[in-house]
Amino acid sequence: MHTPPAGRADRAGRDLPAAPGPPPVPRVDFLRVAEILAAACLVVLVIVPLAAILVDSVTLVASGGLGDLPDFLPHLMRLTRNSLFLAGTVTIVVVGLSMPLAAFMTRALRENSMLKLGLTLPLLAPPFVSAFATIVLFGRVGVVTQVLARIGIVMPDIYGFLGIAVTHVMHLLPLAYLTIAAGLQSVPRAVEESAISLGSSPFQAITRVVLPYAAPHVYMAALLVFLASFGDVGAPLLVGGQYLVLPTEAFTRFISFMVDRRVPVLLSSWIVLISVCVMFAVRALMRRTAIAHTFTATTYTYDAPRLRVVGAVFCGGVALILFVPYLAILVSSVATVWGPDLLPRALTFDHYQALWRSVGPLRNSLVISGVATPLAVLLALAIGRLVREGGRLGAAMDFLTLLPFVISGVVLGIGIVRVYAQLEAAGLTVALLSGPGLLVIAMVSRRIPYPVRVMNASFMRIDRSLEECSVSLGASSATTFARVTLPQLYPAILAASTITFIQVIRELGPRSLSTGRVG
Amino acid sequence: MTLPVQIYGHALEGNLGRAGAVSMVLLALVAVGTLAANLLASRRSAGGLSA
Repeated sequence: MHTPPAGRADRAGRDLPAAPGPPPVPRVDFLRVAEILAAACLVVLVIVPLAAILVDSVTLVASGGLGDLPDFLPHLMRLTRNSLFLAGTVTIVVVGLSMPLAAFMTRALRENSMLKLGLTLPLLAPPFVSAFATIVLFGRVGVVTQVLARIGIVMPDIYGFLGIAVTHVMHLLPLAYLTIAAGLQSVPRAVEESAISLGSSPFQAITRVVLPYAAPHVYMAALLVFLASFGDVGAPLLVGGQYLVLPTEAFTRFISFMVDRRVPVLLSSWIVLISVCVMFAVRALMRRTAIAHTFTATTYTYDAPRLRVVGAVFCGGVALILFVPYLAILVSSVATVWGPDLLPRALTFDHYQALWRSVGPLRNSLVISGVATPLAVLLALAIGRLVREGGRLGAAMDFLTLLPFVISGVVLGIGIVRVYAQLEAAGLTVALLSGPGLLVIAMVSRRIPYPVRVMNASFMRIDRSLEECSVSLGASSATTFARVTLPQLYPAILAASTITFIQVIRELGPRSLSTGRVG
Repeated sequence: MTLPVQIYGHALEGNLGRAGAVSMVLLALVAVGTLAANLLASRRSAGGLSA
């Protein structure tokens, strides 16, 4: 029960009006301050570098600065055509393979964790490691190339479009498969049962009933694959040969001292423009095909032995093909010479011993990941709360965190280095932000979408009535956050930290920063 | 220099054995992280880490 505060009384015992006290001191909402600081950090990390590139490009084009670059536009068109053709081909092949793969795995085959592991293995490795595996297997002195040459079969040269496309297909297949499988698992069981009971064959039920339900997931898979292939720089650098694509050209022009410094900036702007246009087009397509339905706990399984056999052969074959490159990397790491024969001539641990003698890169990777991970998760925690509170700022931040996912890491790296160069020119450089510090900033800005998505999902699952109870019992918002909200978020914080660490330690994109070139 | 940059450098030089060894170290680190994430997720779904 609420007890009124003791007031003053006169000699007759009558209450006197309370004496005017000091005006109430407005309480600072520390959480709100933290949210706004996080939003400002996100703007600095993502918007400022991209805006710097776009503003530079617009200024350059508006001032007629392309007049002395007569070959630039034809070169840009050729690069664009190459990039779009590569990303389009990879998307068609990957989605075309992922749809039957996901259909077999969710509708015909029983739960098999080994098969699932085989199909998702490439997700562990960065794309350039897959490219390296392509060289080991299909390069000019690759194992498969040499073995086939012995029986008179000449492999086409892997350095070029074919090499990049094979690498991207093998690397991005799990991403599309998992996305489409998630869509197929959300189709209501009753809908499929009705189709089958009305006489549809499994093929008809899947193509006419299931796929229309899962269409938004198929488009999402296509978008993810397209953007990943379009923005990748590692595989084209290693196996691209003379097949030039936009991100590789932006990167090589940026690190070269011999070329015009305006070119990488213009190329970066062009990459941003194409990526954002593709993203908006696919989002519009997804909205048009979205079907409102509730998620189901179980999915329909077709009891057809022949379908199961075909599915097992297809999925097992794909898993084996995806596994072979990593086996090849393992063998090459312990081989003295491996090339003309199916097996290496001798085994050795020399490569690992050499690695042990120079642990610098391993230490650097661990330090950079160890510093970038808590920073990114802390930022994601504040952004996650801001997004949950809603409002325009929350919605803007939600969209903003998508951008580093959509845009190539090289572009973001170039933008950050340019901003740093401009700060340096203005005498505003902070020693902490140079060298490794700049690399940490680039890693945080590049990989922030991952912890933010994890934190957003976790904030949505929190029971808000507990927080409301805490506030109504007199706790401040900061106390409520520390004692009620945060304990519920511990598992999400750990998961976000792990995912961010993995993403940061395998990142090659902002490598341009480590070259020390600015401007 | 970081591990990805080291792999890239060795692969570019044609030193596939060294690139393979560094790749395996990187893959091992990522695999350990993934296993940890899966372990956390399973403990979370079992209510082991819930407040």
